[in-house]
Amino acid sequence: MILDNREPIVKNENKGRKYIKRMIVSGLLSLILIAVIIYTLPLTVLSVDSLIEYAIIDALVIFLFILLVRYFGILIFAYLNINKYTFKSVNGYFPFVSIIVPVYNEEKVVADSVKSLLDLNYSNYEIIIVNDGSTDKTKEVAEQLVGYQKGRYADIKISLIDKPNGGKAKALNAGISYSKADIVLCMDGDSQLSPDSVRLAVRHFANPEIGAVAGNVKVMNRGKFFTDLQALEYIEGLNMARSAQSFVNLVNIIPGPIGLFRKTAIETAGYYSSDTFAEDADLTLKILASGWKIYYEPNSISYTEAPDKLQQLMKQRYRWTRGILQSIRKHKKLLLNPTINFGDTFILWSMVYEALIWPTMNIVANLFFIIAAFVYGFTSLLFFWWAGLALLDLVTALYSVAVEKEELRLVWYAIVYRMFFILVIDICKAMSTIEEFLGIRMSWGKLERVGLLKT
Amino acid sequence: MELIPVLSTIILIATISTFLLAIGAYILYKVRESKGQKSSAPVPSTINAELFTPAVSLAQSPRQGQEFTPQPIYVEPRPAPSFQQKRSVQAKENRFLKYTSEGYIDPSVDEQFTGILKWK
Repeated sequence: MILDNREPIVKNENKGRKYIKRMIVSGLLSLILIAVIIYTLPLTVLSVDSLIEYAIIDALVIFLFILLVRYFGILIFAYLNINKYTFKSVNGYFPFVSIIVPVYNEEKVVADSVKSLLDLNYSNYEIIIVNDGSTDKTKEVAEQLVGYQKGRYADIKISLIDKPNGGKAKALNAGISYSKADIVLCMDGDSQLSPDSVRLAVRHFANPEIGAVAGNVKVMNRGKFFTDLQALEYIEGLNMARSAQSFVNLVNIIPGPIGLFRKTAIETAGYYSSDTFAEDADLTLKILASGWKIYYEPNSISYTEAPDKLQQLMKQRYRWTRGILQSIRKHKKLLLNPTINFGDTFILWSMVYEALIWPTMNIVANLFFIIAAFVYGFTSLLFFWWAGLALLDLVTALYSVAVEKEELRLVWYAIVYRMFFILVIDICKAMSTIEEFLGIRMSWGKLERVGLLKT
Repeated sequence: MELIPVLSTIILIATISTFLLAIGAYILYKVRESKGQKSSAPVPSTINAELFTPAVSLAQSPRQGQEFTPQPIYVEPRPAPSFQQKRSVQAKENRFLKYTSEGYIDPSVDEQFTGILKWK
């Protein structure tokens, strides 16, 4: 089997010159702004100290306003989407589905992942395992699984493509190219699908406008402080936002652990690309730009193993942030020109907000309160700020947990969620953003799996 | 002692500690990552992959255990087209139909077509 291994052609541009140009332009604009402030300040009643004070207060009010608009916007849209949601199935619509399982050094979990796929409440599917040049015994374990395995309703064909290492995007592309199905399900090698995941997601493809369906990702390895916080984040932060986006059929990221695609949508979008580290975000944007709609199916659940150590979490978020920034830069034409595809422009600006604006605002706000506490002795300001945000997070967490019928104990993590977890994530995002703009080389950063997933 | 100043102090210390922890963890992560950096090799345009697929087809593969009923593959019944739909389809196929006393007919089918309307 011969696979296409070419990368998209990237224009050979002089990066150094581009950065210098950018620095000169931004420097000149800053100088003009400072000159305007110095010239106009004596004409006002403000002193320099009061100007700084007012500017900070204004920034905080704007920050709080945006935060509230974002929160309530997401909550309202997610609520409307849940009200619209129905379990109604499409009679007689059971298209053939290829489940692509890319694996790289997953010897501990690949067998359990495939076993979970054999228990699906669906009969018309096959499993294609793509071994992306693993250096452990993944190939041997996967070879044992090849054949017709007993599924819940039918014998399921399991194939294995063993290819040299080339990254997740190329592994998925190899599986998609080999598949003859109209619908492909792309997942991670370390994820497990719930039995109804395929049946509930596939029915949306009866609508010819739907190009892809995003599933619901949940944290499997709970019980530890970090993994519980991530479980809450997935429910409150990621799935809630996805549900809100689904109301307008504009889901911005089809998650790696579970995403179903119409094969023609992938073909028109141009398959997964390896030029970003968030290949799922990139493909989603390409599918949206091709005019397809994307739906979110909250009951198509994929359980994934979340990093349980701070360093592993940093590694994951570093890759996510840089990958999303790379995707935004790749599609900057759509970002700046809403006449091409307004939906894409909207989605890209929301990604800019989440990846760039929000973390900066959060870090600056916290730094301001620390400075205010030490310099002016306003320690209580930080407390009231925290209390307000914690209350907001508690209400949202309660709502999200109720909607997803999740564990109630996760709600209490909302107290430390914003002040600790989100701050750590935002600092990591800010650092990653700086590195991305400086063009520092990065590697994929494979997460260590302990093989906790059991069927 | 009042509660708010105590809580404020706790939150202040917690926030500062979080900042330090996050920056420290990030630096540690970068240091560990930099140790494992390797230079990248040139990428070939095509690569060979090995395919392992079962030889026997599903029909030949005898099912072990209990019987199963396979679900149908998209056999959504379509309703028979109505007269109006048939007419609209026909009209789409040929936009120039000829009206006769027998109704609309295709001019190419009408061998006797002379441009004069036929009357019974």
